[in-house]
Amino acid sequence: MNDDEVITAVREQRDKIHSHTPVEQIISRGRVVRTRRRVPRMAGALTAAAAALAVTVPGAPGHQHSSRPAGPGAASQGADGAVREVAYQVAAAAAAGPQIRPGQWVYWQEKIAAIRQPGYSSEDLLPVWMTASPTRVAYVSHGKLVFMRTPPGEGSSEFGGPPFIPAGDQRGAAEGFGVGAKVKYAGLGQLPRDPRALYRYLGALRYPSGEPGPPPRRAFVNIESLLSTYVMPPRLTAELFLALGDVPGVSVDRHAADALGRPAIAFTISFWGGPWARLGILVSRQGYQLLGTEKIGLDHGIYETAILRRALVSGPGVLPQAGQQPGSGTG
Amino acid sequence: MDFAEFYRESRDACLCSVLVSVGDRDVAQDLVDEAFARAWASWWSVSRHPAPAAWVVRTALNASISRWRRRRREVSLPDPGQVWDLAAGNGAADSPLDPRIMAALARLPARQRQVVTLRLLLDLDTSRTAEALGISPSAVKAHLARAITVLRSDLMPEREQENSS
Repeated sequence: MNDDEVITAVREQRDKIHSHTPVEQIISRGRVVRTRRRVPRMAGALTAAAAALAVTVPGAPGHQHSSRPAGPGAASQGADGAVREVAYQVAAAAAAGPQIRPGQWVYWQEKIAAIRQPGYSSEDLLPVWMTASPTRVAYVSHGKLVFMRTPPGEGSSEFGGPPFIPAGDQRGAAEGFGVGAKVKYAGLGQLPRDPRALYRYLGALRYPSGEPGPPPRRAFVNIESLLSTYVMPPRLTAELFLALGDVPGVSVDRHAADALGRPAIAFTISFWGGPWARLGILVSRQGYQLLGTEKIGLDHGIYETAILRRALVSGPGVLPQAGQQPGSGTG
Repeated sequence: MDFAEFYRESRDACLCSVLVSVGDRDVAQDLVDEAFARAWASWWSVSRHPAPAAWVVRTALNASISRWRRRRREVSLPDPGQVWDLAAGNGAADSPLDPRIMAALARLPARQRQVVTLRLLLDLDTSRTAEALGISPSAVKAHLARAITVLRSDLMPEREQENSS
């Protein structure tokens, strides 16, 4: 091997590697960097960041400013700086997502993975088509497109996300819904814009199941349920992640993996209540798209959801094209 | 040059340059994305830098050092050269990169690796490399020559080494 061959071999390595991060995502992240530099770190910083992330959302629910002092009123002093930094990055990516109208149809397919969870089985769920404001839902049963008789309203299923229809169930019998998000889709526009106010508001709500609990955990669960129940306008999604960065007790694991083994960043919170010991919201390490959720049981059982596909489509029954950009989920 | 054009042209080379030093693809990707984000946030000044790609790589590696300082209290991080050696041992079937070459690059002394990165991966000329590293052009040439000698020795099959000695 001579010198030229060494040089060629080294340069070949460069030609074999490809970065797939879109420039739009880099720019969104750059906006966060710029925001970090410009605004003071403490009071007012998050409000300014939310403003910097704001995007125009035509046709979305009227999103009005609100500073109502709802909720526990606790300051977010316990929030971790590293968590907030990651939350900013995820929020920036979310804010750069495509615009979504309430009537926009979305193709949505999830998988559940239940490990040592009695009563649950790991399986793919039937794909559904639902409008962003979940008033209309359709799925294919026996080769026919079926519209659900009872639209899910504000709660799609017990687990959030699309209606819970196991792939093996072709009868549509699973049209009943459990609890979903505590905030109705029409009420999303009334949520406080300031992340700390949003945290306080969501922390004052009860769990979707109706039970009380400590405000940080209630805020976390309500953020999780909103993210996994609705396909929201990008700005709302961004503001929820900003608020998540302000929830005390939240940790970030940058080296997590979702139910499908996809590299993930997990926002988690310890949860000593009910059957669960820890809850998590997972986003992809590259692109910061919502991948799913995880619940770790007190008995070390794991219940995970993984979004296989969530993409905007032109109507019910229409399959997303390969490589199509997702809504606010993963492709 | 606008930022998008610069990003498209240099992102792969920057990623490879950082990967050589950190050894982990996901970590390298995150560092490079963050460095490009900072470049965008300061594009007015970065675009006037004599070698913007070198600025990105330097920024990414500085961030890597900061992370390492934070994390070393928690876990001991593996040496990138060892990481690539392990990959070579496992066949590294999922990576198109040659782990032998990546390991050899990772094992180079820091200054030699920096010169190889700027000269061979980012295609900077000698004077730009010297400017970016704050050393003389003759020092760049000397480091590159030594690095190539080490790499040649590292990459030469054992039998070939025996024959040449």
